[in-house]
Amino acid sequence: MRRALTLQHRWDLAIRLLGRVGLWGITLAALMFLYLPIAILVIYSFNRSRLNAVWRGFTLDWYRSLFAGIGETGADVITGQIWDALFNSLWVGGIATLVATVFGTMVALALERFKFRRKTALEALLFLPIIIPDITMGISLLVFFSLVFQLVQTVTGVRLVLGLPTVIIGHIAFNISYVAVTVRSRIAELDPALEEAAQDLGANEWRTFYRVTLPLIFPGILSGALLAFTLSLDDFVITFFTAGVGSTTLPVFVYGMIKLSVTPAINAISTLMLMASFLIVLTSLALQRRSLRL
Amino acid sequence: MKLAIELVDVVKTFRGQNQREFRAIEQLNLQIRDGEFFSLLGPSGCGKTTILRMIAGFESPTAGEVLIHGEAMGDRPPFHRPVNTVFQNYALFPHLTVAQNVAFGLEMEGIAQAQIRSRVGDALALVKLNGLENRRPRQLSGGQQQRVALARALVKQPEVLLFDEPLGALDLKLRKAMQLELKAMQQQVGITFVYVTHDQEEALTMSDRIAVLSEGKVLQVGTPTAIYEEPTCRFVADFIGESNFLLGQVIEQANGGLVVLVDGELTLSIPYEPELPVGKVITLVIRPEKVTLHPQTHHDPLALQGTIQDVVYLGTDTRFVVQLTSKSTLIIRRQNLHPGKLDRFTVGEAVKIRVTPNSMRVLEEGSLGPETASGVLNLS
Repeated sequence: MRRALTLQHRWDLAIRLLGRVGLWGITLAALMFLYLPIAILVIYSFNRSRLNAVWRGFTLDWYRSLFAGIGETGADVITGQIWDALFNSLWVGGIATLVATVFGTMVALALERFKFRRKTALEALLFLPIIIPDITMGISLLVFFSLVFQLVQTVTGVRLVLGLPTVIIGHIAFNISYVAVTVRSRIAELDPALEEAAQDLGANEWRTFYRVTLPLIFPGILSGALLAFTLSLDDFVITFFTAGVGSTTLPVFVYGMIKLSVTPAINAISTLMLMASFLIVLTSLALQRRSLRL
Repeated sequence: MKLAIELVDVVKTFRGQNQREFRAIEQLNLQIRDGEFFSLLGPSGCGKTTILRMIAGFESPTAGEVLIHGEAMGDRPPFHRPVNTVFQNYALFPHLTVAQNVAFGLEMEGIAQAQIRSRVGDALALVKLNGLENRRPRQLSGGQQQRVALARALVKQPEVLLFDEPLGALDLKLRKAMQLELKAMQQQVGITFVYVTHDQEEALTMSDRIAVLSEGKVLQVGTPTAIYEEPTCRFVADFIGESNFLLGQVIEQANGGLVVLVDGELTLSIPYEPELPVGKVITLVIRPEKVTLHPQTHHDPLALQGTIQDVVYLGTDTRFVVQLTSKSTLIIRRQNLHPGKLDRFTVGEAVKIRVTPNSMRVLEEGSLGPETASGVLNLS
């Protein structure tokens, strides 16, 4: 009896050990799978060799080349284009974020605070841009724009082309959903009694909104905005379909560069973009945590 | 007499998710006098909070009218009504300090900053919170938050102050202290308090008058004494304090009283004005503290026979469950005045129970409903 128990005990221990090792192993493998390519990209941005395959020692040259000749006449053509693309990205991201944040917040408030017909349908529609493939969204936007352009041309004779405005509209279209979902989770945490208390104390609807509702959901709005900005900055597919001449954003430009030649300069740009996104997402998360503690 | 609040034929229906209508309030008429401490008392789901929300303006009646100081409120929004509310979970603004919370309502009125500061100071002094002006609500204890909520409403000097179970989240000791404090404060400021609670003891402690509600209907309105001593229906007798219900049959009607056969065992003459036909079955309400227990050897012609089923020691008093000859049970409470004699009655012991006619309350309800909580009488 005692022997059997001990055996059973040993067996349990072995299983538990196996489980622990297995769990760690799978976790590690998953993390490697996710982050190893990124780590390689970052490491090779410091590689002296022009080729990604071999390591020839540490250098900051590729970063330097990105910044070489800024403001000087006769700067490297590529460098100039990179910076143009970056500014395009920032413009698109900035405006799209601003508009999407306002509309997304309004949608979130409507969904969380009011009852109306077809609310469930609107909720489903809201998730659509998040779940449909980027490529579908990109193509549908392209078709939409060309239809609109044709219509405008037949009616007014004005010929419109794809450019920064179309890119911005495309980004607003998918960002509204992300902002709405983020802000909505914050509003859901907000006790409706707070708004009632404000009205009870003599604040009309508008003052209730900007004295109580807005300050309390603001961390959520900000984190939604940061998320939108990151998504906008990183988006390739939708931008690719809606961009025209002179409206190349950074991801689209990098894609173009790869087709010419793969230099570690691309690794350097990518690393910088990664860092920027990382910082923004961290800020967004920190804001969300802060809002939870409030 | 001036009325602070009047509800005239108020009906409120809600539409559920399945589009089915649910009647929260049915044809309600209620008059709350100026300057009184009025409680709306009832179990959860009886509609008391809905009534409060209709007075505050968060809900509008489906039919009927809410009047505040004689003025019909109609669809007037909460921010245009001369009432303020102390919410159940206080609803303090977490992003504002204590002083900013209290100042909020005055700022909405557009009062000058200097005056706001002095009035906020006065209000915080009234609730004994001076020195905590710059704290955030989350840095305060539950009791302190409760006081901030009170100050925030009081500072507006409303004609009527509404309370939605404001003490529910506090522990027992603090709740008892706050009850007395609220009552004292109401007498000090002299404004009408309308207080929603499900705690009958709380309502009895503080109120000038109480309305007992059940399933959207007012069952009885009266002073705490009237509600406790003279319940007009079974529900009130059962909900306020503990009650025993015994069936009785009218044997004859004689000079302002009834001769009743109580529990098929004892004939008593009970004072009762209205005429009742001979043979009618009535319900008798007996409070547990108004019955006395005696040993079997005690000679008393006005006593019921019973057997002790359970003895529970409760500190201030002892609670006995006694089974009568008719198999119905009776709950009896006896104050523990002489601690040494606690175990005078033991389980299984045969006893005599003395009921005095004056301590019985006659209800013209001939049956004991299935919802009876205590003192079930089995007539089989």
